[in-house]
Amino acid sequence: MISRLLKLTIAIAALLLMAVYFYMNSIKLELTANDWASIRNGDAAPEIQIYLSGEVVYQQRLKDSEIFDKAGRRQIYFVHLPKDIFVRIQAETGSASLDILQQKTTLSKTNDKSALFAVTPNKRIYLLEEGELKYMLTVIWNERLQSGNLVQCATPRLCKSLKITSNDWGPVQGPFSGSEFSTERRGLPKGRWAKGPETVLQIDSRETQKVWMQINLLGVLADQTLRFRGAATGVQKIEADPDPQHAGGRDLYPAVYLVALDLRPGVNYLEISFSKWSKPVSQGANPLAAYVAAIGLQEAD
Amino acid sequence: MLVNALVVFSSWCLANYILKDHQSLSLRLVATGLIYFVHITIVILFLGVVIRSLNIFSVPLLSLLVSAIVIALCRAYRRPFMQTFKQCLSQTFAAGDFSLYVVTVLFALQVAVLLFKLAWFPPHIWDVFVYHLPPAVEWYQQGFIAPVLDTTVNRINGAPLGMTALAFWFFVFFRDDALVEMPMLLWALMLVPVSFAVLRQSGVSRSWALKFAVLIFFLPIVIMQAITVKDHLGLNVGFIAGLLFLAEFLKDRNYRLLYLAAAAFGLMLGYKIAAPVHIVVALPVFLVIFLSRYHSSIFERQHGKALLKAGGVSAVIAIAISGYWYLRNFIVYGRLHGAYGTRLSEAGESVANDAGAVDTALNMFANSGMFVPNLSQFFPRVLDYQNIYAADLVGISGFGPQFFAFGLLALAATVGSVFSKHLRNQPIFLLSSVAVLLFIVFMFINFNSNSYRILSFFPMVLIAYAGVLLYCSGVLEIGLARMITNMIMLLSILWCFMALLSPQYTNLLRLSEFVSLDHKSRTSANFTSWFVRPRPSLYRLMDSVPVTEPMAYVAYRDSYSAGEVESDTWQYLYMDRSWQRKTYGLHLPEYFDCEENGQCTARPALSAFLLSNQVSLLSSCKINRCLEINDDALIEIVPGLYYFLGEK
Repeated sequence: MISRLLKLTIAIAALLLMAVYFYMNSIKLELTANDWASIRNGDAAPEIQIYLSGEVVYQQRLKDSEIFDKAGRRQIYFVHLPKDIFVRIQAETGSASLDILQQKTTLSKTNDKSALFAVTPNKRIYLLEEGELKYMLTVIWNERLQSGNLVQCATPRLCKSLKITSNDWGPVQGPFSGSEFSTERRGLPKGRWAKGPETVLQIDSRETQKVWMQINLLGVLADQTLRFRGAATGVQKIEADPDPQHAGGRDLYPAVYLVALDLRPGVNYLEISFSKWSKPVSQGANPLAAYVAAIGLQEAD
Repeated sequence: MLVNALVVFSSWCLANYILKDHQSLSLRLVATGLIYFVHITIVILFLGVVIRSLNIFSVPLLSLLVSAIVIALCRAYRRPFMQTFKQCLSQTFAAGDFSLYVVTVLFALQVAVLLFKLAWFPPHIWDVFVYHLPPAVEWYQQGFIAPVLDTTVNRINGAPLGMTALAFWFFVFFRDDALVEMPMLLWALMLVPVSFAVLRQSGVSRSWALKFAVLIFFLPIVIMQAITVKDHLGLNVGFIAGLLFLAEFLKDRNYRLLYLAAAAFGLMLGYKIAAPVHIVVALPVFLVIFLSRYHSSIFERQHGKALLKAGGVSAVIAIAISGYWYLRNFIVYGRLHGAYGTRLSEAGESVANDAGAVDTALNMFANSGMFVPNLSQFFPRVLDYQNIYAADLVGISGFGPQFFAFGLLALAATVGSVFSKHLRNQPIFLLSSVAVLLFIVFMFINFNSNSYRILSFFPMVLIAYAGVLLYCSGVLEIGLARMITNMIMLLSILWCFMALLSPQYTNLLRLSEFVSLDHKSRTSANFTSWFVRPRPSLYRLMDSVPVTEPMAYVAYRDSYSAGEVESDTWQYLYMDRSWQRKTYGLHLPEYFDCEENGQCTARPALSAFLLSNQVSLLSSCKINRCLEINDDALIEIVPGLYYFLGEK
C-alpha cells in the first residue's frame, strides 16, 4: 500500500485545492453579504384592517404597488373583498373605516357601485367587490392617460400657447417604488434627467408673453448652483428641503428655482448651466446634472 | 398526507419483498423511494392517458387501491422501519465522531431551510415557466394528458414529462402550487441513502459513509435545484440508483436487483430527452464488467434463461414507466425526440429542422466542435468562478468546493483505476467509470452556458469514489489526514450552507414583504424579479385580476423583434396558485404584423379569436420586451397588458 507520506500528501493536496476554490470565489461571500443587507432593508407588507361600527370585518396584507396616481404622489392599491362583506361595508359606508400603519381613514363611495376608496397621504386604496375587473382597469387607464407631461400650467390657455422641448434631457420616467428592483430607478419621482454641464430648453411660443417658470430639481451633487441665460430675465432661488433625498441609488439634493421668462413668438432658448455634474457611468453615457421633477408655468402679467 | 403515507408504506413493503435477501437499510430506503416515484408516475399516466380522467378524486382513489393491493400481497415481508433505523443510527454514531454530529446537525438545518423555501416560495425558474409546469396546468384544466399540447413552445411536445407528473401529484391533493417542487427535494434527499449505500457497498465505515453522503447532498447544484421543478436531480440520482443496483447485482447475481435498476432507469428516461445517452453509455460498461466476471457461467442454460427472463421483465418495467413519452413522440412526430429540433411554420405547423437525433449526435462526434471549448472551460466551470450560484447554473458547474477538493483527485484515480485490477474490482468502479465516460460523451454533444446542470452525476459519483479511495487506501487511518479531511468536509458544507441560504430570483428588497404576504399573494408573479423592466407592473397586478378571467398572450418560437434576448415564449401566465386561470397562446404571425422596433398591428383574426373565446385581457410581453400593439379595440392598461373592448 502507499506510504504514510503519500497518504498525507493526498490529504494536503485536497486541502490546497479547497483553498484555491475559496480564494477564487471569495467575491461570492461579499455578494451574499449584500443579499442579506438587501433583505434586512426591506419592509414587511403592511396590514389593512377594515372596521365596521368598531368591529374588524376584513384584514389583508398589502403588497407594494407599482401603479401611481396621475400626479405620481400616491400609490394605488386594489383590494377585492368577499361579496357579503363588500355589501355590508357599502351599505354602512358612514360607519366604516380603514386602518393602515396605525392611520385610520374614512371610506368614500365612487361613481361605481362595485367600488369604494380610502385615501392616505401616499396611498389610494380601492375596495372592490370580488371579481370586479372593469372598474379597476378603468382607474389605472385613466390615471395613466392623465399623467405624462411634467409641465403643469396655471391655465390651459398657457399650455396651449407654448411647448417645451430639449435634446439635453432624457425621457419622462417614474414614479418608481422605493423597492424597485433597479437601483438606478428606485424611489425616483416622476421626472427626467437633465444633462450636465448644460441643458438647453427650446420653448416654442405662439405669442409674445411674460411667464414665470418654476423648476423643481433634484441635483446630483450638494451645493450645486444653476445659471440661466437666453429667455430668462430674472432668477430667484426658492428655499427647498435642505435634506438630501435618497433615490435612484444616490443622494439627490432638492432645489427650486423661479425663472422670469420673456418669450417672443417662435423658438426661445433657455440655457441652464450647472456648476456641478456627475461623471458618466459608462462610455457613451451622458453626464447627469439634475433630475427635473416638475416644471410649473404661470402668466407673469 | 394519508394517501402519501399509504403509498410510502406500500412501497416499503414491496421494497422489502424485492430485497428480502438483503439486510442493508439504505438499499431498502432507495428501493422504497424508487417504488414510490414509480407508483405516482404509473397512476398519473394510467389515469391521464388510458382512462383520461385525471382529477382530485380519481388520483387518490386509484392510488389507494394499488397501495392496498401491494400491502396485502407484501405485508408479510415488511420489516419494522423504526427499529431498524434506530439500530443503524446507533451503530453509525457509536464511534463518537464529533464531526459526524456537526455534519448531521447541518444536514438537518439545511433540510429545514429547503422545506421552508419550498413551501413559502413559488416556482421561480425560467424553464419551469416554459415547459415544466404549463403541461401540468393543462392536464389539470383538461382532466387528461393530451398527446400534443396547444403550445407554440415546441419542446413541450417532445419532452418526457415524468417530473411534471410528479409535480401534478403534489398539486392535485391541495389544489395549490405550494408543494410542486417537492419531487426534486425528495430526489435530493434520496441522494443521501443512495450515496451512503454506494460507499457502504465498497466497504467504507458507516460514519465516513454518512459524512460523505451528506457532503454530496450539500453540492451547490443539488441544494439549488432541490427546490425547483426542473428534472436534473431526478435524472442523475435515478441514474446513480440504477447503477447502484447494477453494481449490487454484479456482486451476487440476484436478478431481482435488475428490476429495481430498471425502475430507476425507467424513471430517469421519463424525465429528460437526454436520458437515453446515459443508458447507452452505462449498459455497455455494465455488460463488459458482467461478462468479464461471469463469462464462464453465462452460457449455462439455467443462468442464461434466468438472465433473459430478468432482462425481459426489466425492459417491460422501464418501458411501462417511461415508454409513453417516446411512443407519443414516435406516433405524433415519427421520431423519438418528438418536437425537439422542429420549428413552427408561419401557419403554425411543426417543421423538422434537424437531421434526426442519431444523425445530429453522430455529426457532433465527427466534428468534435464542442469538445475543445468544453475542455478549455472545464477548470473555470468546476471552480464556479465566473458567475454567481443560481439554479440555472449560468457559466458555472455548481460542483462546489467539495468536488474541487475531492472530486478532482478521484477523477485522476478513476483514470488510473482502469489499469489497476484491485481498483477495477471495487463495486464503485462501475459507477466511476460510467460517470467519467458519460461526462466525456457530454463534452462532445453539449456545450452552452447552462450545460453543466445535466452533469450533476459527475460530482456525486466522484466524491463518493474519493470517499472510497481515502477510506480503503488507509489515508483516513492517519490522524492528521483524518483531521484535514474532516476540516475540508465541514468547511465545504458550511460554505455551501451560507452561500446558498439567500433566496434567488427575487427582488431581495421585497423579500420581507413577500414572506409576510397572505398565502394567496405568494405567487410566482409577485416573487420573480428577472423579467423585463416594463413587465412587473403587469405581473404584480395579476393578484387583483379574478382567476376566472382568461388571458391571451402573444407567443412565438422565435424573437418578436430586434433587441430580444431569447427565443420561445418565456413567461408563466398561470399566476394564481390554484391554476384556475385559462390562458391562450396566440402564435404571433397568425394574429399580428410586427416591425423590427416592436410596433405591431393586430390582424382581423385577433378580434375574432378574443370574441369567440370570451377573452378580454392580452399580454404582449416575453422576457425582455413587450410589444406595442396598435388597434382601436385594444387599450393599454400598463405596459404589455391590453384590454379588449369588443363586445362579449
